[in-house]
Amino acid sequence: MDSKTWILAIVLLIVGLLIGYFAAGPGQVKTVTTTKMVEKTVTVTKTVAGTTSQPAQTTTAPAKKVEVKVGILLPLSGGSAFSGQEDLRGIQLAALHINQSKYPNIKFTMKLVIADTQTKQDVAVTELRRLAQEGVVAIIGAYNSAVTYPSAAEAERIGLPYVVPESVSDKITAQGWKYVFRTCANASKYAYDTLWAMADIAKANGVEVKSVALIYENSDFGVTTTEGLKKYLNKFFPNAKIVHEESYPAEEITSMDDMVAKLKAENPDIVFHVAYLKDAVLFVQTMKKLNWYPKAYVGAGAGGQTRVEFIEQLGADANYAYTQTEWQPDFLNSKALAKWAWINEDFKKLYGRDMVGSSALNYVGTYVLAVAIQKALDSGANPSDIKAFRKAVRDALETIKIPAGELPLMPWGVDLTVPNHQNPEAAVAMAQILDGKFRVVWPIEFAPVKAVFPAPGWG
Amino acid sequence: MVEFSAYTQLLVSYAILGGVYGLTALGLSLIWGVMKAVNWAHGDFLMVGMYTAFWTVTLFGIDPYIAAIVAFILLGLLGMVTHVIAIEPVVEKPGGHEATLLTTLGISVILESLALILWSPSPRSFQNVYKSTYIEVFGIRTSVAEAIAFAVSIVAIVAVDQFLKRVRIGKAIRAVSQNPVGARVVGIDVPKIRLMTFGLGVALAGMAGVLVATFYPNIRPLAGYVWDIASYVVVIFAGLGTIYGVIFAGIIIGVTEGLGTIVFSNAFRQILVYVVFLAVLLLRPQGLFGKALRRV
Repeated sequence: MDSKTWILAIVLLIVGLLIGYFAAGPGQVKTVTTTKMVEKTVTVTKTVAGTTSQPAQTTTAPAKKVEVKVGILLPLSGGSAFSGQEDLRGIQLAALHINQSKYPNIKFTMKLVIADTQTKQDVAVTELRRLAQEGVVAIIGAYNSAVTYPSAAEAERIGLPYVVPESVSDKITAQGWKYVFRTCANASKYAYDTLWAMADIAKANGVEVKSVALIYENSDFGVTTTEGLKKYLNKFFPNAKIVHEESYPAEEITSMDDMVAKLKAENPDIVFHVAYLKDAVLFVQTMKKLNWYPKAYVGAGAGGQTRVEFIEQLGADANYAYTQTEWQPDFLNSKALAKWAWINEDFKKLYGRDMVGSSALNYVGTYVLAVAIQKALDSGANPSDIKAFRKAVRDALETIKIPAGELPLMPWGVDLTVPNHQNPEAAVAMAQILDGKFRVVWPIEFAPVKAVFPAPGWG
Repeated sequence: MVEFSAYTQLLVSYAILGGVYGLTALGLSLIWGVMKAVNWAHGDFLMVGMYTAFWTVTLFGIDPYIAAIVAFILLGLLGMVTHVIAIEPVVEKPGGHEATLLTTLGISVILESLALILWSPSPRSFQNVYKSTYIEVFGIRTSVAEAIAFAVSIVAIVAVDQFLKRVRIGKAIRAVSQNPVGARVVGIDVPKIRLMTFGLGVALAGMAGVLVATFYPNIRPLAGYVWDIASYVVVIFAGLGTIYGVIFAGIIIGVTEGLGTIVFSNAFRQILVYVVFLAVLLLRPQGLFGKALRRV
């Protein structure tokens, strides 16, 4: 190729990359002062501040707050970009509330330094190193278990506290790492709660479950959740047999006819499906095409079935599907959680809709880290001595114990004092899609409606 | 155990899927196979076609198959603009065909990034009656959307083949593909023909994107990727320059994929396809339906 050709090719690539840089919005290698939220939403932020139902702020002039940088590592481009953006909304809202002193126990200003993993492991590790160089005291991330794991390993190596609010793979907290803490449930717990919920629902409806099928996408998320399902199946369904088990590559799949045909032949009572969004939608579409529906189709692991797009894309065909869910607005109707409704109200003012599991989990993870940072500050640790301060934050995280009811949004508490730093109190609810809406059907105390079991089929 | 009737159902389902692979590969076949330019942005043009369907259906409430015509025209124009920017300046230079790989890679990054800016990474879809209405013949069931995509695939492939063989411009496209210098000598406006070929190839990709979006979930900036990979396999499998071959190659790949999953499991879905693909390349490097080059 001659020089002009090279120049044209390089110019086109640079233009593409520049557009890509801006496409990822605030998430690309930019420091964001969170009091301003994403810069473009400054006006909205002010509105939220003015209209929140929380008690008014103190009117005395506050002393200048200490500013602490927190690194956010999320997939803001690449295959999981839409999930990363949702996570970021939860984190930014939590930081906004912290900076607006909505939590009197937290007295510092949180400055988010946001980096994009591009849904890639190597990029996540590189970005984590960069965030460390920029002086963040801790990391929150990184949505995909497969990305969280290597980046958490790197955080452990360099002594940087890492809070995992959403990635579920068991192995993240099974390494004995000192700097890694998980506030959400792990995959085994998701599996445990799935079976527990469905056993309770089956019992309440007088249905005996004799056979189940396990269908799962073949990355860490699907594999570890399914391992958990197999481990605990007979505890909750002593007479049930696994009549079919199959995994598949979620990104590349173009048809699921074969899997549904096999299931139709085996006709299991319950299909447990660990899936992302596209494959979950495709699976239900295919069940309808092949005119078959089990007594219960259950989205385990709070994956694709828990997303609002699952209902948007399937319309009425989404009805009767069960999905594990970390959070639903139904929770706020319960006595215990009604006091946190203002958080969801603020979220709605910013984004025009309710929070979902991802945003709520990330809100909680950010809050827990903030409590730990405050503890570190209270202990006299100096944020300008970054290495010592990170150690102080780690030590503080290890003492975090927030009982249920005091943790925003969630019906559970947080206990990070356990040796593996895996919050044992985190739990996962079960929702069923009824009349095009996610309705919590388990645990019973948070369930405003009764589950429909068995599902009526396609009719 | 899957019953015999279910096997028939699956065979038909995967043949239909293969037909759709053929449709998504058609534009690529024209650009790569006939024009000899590598279009790295093929999957992104499919993606733009999908978004065209989404926006025209949701904003104007028009039928998705009318959206396919809109996409054909819009993407045709986009293809011509792309050609002017990224193909024509390099294609005649030494190593020009390889250079198109780089320039279209740039276009690919630009399109994906623009999609991210304009439409966000949130997955979208549009409701249509075709994907939830079914045809049942002898107990074999498929959605109307998939059946239409398959039918359009065959019609489009026959139409493009006949266009290249019988219509004057089509003949000029083949002439430019076979011998650009000779074509120029006999008075063919080579740059104009290349412009039209690229435009037509991208228009076909856009139309394919719309048809895929009628039954396949999740319209998002990277949605073209999975169909892009399938398209490359189909074009190489069929043989560069063959148009009819694309439909047969698509169906063979679709059915092979189906057999891999039925007989073994989904873990073998891609493995079996690539084993067959490699076997064909080893035994017939020119592809299943391509003509072998002879040493002269």
